[in-house]
Amino acid sequence: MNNYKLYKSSLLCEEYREYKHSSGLTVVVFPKKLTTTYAIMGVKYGSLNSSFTVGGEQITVPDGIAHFLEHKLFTNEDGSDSFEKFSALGADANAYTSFNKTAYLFSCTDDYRAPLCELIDFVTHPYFTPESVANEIGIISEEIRMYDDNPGDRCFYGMLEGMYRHHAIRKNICGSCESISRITPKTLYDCYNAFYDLHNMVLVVCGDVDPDEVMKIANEHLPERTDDFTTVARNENALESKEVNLPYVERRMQLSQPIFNIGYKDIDIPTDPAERQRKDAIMAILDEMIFSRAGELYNSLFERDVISPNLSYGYSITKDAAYNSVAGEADDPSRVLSEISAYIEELRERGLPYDDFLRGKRVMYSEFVKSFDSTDNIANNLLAFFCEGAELLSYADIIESVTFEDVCEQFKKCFTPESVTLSVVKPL
Amino acid sequence: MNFTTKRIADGISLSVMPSDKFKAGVIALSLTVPLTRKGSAYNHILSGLLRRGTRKYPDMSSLNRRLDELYGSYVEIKSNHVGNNLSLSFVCEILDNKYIPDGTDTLGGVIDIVADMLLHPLFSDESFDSAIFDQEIRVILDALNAEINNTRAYAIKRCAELMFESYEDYPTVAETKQIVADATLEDLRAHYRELISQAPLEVFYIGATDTDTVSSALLKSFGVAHFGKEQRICKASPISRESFAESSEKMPVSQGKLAMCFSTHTSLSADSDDYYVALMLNELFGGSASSKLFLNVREKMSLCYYCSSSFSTYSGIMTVSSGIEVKNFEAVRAAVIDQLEQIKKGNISESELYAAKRSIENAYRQLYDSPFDLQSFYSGRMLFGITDTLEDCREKLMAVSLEQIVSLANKVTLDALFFVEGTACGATDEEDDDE
Repeated sequence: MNNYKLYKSSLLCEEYREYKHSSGLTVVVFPKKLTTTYAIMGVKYGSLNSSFTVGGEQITVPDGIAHFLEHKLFTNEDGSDSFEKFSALGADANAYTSFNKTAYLFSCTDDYRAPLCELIDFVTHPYFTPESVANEIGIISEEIRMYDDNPGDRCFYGMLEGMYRHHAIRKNICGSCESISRITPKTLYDCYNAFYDLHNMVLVVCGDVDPDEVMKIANEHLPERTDDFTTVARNENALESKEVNLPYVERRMQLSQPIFNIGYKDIDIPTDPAERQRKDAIMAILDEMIFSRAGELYNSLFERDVISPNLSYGYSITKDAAYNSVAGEADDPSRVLSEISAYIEELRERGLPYDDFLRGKRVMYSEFVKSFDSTDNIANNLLAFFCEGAELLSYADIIESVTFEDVCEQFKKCFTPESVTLSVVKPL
Repeated sequence: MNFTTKRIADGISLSVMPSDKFKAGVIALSLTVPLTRKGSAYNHILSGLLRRGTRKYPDMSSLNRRLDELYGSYVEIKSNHVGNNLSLSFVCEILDNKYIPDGTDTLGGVIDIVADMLLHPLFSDESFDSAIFDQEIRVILDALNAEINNTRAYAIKRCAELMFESYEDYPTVAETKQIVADATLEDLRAHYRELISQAPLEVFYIGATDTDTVSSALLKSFGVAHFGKEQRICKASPISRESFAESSEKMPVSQGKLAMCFSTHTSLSADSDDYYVALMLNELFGGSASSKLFLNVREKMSLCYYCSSSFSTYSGIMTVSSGIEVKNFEAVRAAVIDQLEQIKKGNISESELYAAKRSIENAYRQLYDSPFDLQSFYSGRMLFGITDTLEDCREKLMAVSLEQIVSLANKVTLDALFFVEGTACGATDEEDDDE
């Protein structure tokens, strides 16, 4: 008998179940009447976790190892490759590593049961050899070079290096060609044993599925019980002060026009997950009020040729790091920053317009509702919320509960001069 | 999922695919004419100009505000090549009424905005500020110049241009830049008038609103417009070269980018099902993680992070793309050719063919979950009078035999190759300032 918590939203007309399996694994089943079933096995382990403590022992591993491990987990002890197995089962498999998580996933439009068994099996059975590690170095080196040649990616990391002094977020998720050359089967097993603990993992299944059947498969493929998770990840955010490391970072690359990433560092991260989600919603609405294409700032900058039309912006918050970023193309990125700063000062004096608040909130609400149109989005969002210890459906209520006063109050604390960094990539 | 099409006014036809499974519906409104170099360049400019204001919403800010009021409705203006034709499309995503707490008519509101953009754009007015036109020209030129920012796409584009070298109407980036730079506001007004008077308006809607409501919203907003009465479409035909062409360019980047264009001498057509054989061939060759290129060039030989092929529906060109170390250029080129040779010789295992079929079947079925994909799939086929449903296509793909694939592979020719030769190798080392 598997007990579960039922989460339900009458507004969204959606519901899902969250089980705590006896092995320690959290299993989330979100029934959704679409053609594609999407399943993810995720670990709260990403590129940030290069320094951690197991049983009182401090361990530091080469940069990029979480991503390397993600590649290598597909190779099995019997010489088979799980990628190929998924293909033969009609499922499209993939995996990704971010700062704070690793995800193994598949999507399929046919019977999901056999691929689900394979997903649980391969993620819970590591097998690393010197030969297969050596083979992967060539592949990942090319992946690193590919990102090195991507101006947008370089500019984004420039922003992180500008904002943070010690935080592991400064480092490339893939590591470097040098750091990955130091990875061995032993370091991979060390990391696997430290983080791939079922208590630290989640299985998410979203699609036209029967939750009982999913749990039956989970019961058959998971151990009955495992020990509690004891690894302690270093608190990277605690290493930082509110001031940025460098106010300006510049690189030169092959490029047609300068690009920029403005970062506003935020170390004020609520420990309570619901409070973090609330801050996320407040900041998202505030960003929409200030930077949106419907707003005066964007139109003034674009109409006077200060920026190119593509301007993106967003607030990111996890328990490990929080920042606001604004990215685009401009002949003179320093001018963009000074104009944004001046506009923000002007807004502080005359106050935020209430109409913009209503508009921002409406846009955020709509974006959130639309995210439930794909099993891919739902499953990945469930994983992200799991890693944060938060609940997905209640985010709609959080958006609804944000008041104009909340946004004005938050606005007083952010976009401060000491928290901003400008990263620029200029043509050679 | 099926759809019905009807002519709701002179020059306006509406296709509706009813579906209540999405929280947001999609409506696409398109005008399609035969492709010309000038038409293609002008459509780029037009898609920017139409956003710069309308009679009701005289600037971008008021236009975008209105879209936000309509619950963050999204309108994208696209200029696309569909075979030898050119489409200007307004693709809109609209939150369904069920999720709108205050009764705002989002669909009617968006149709009204699109009608205003299409029928009453500010730039068609004599008093339009020519500085805005000049700015749009700069924006397009900047976007075209930015192609060097993405060396993978750059190599693919240069290779495609080699494929189309002898095709007069195909717009290369260099020519497009020249036409855009020379364009005048009067040229654009003439192009715009010609487009809306010659092409009929094709509307495709997928969502929960019923056909009559969509139809009356369209008639209310577009009622008196005079679009073209007859669709003039050029049939698509496969693209190939008489002789192999190869070119390369040195660039200060760390990774080399290889693009190889193969002609399959077959493309989507109402008369033949060879197209489905070509799709299967591509899938087997480099279309998925179980393909020959992925398993051999990446996994076995460790030569790259990606080595994949894609098939172009209307031109029948199969393009291989890979990011590699410059010194491995010859090895990768030979490995790619060798994998195709293996297919030509029939060295395809049962399991490889099975995996390729399952993979493509999965990809086709996934289209059912995206209103954007469904719209693009059906609109494209409708232009050429192809009435196959997604399910028909899936069945045709599943019926493709090994012999058909081998036979088609033996007609495939490598027609063009382009290599971006990275000259900044070793650039990765400077990253490790903390080590």
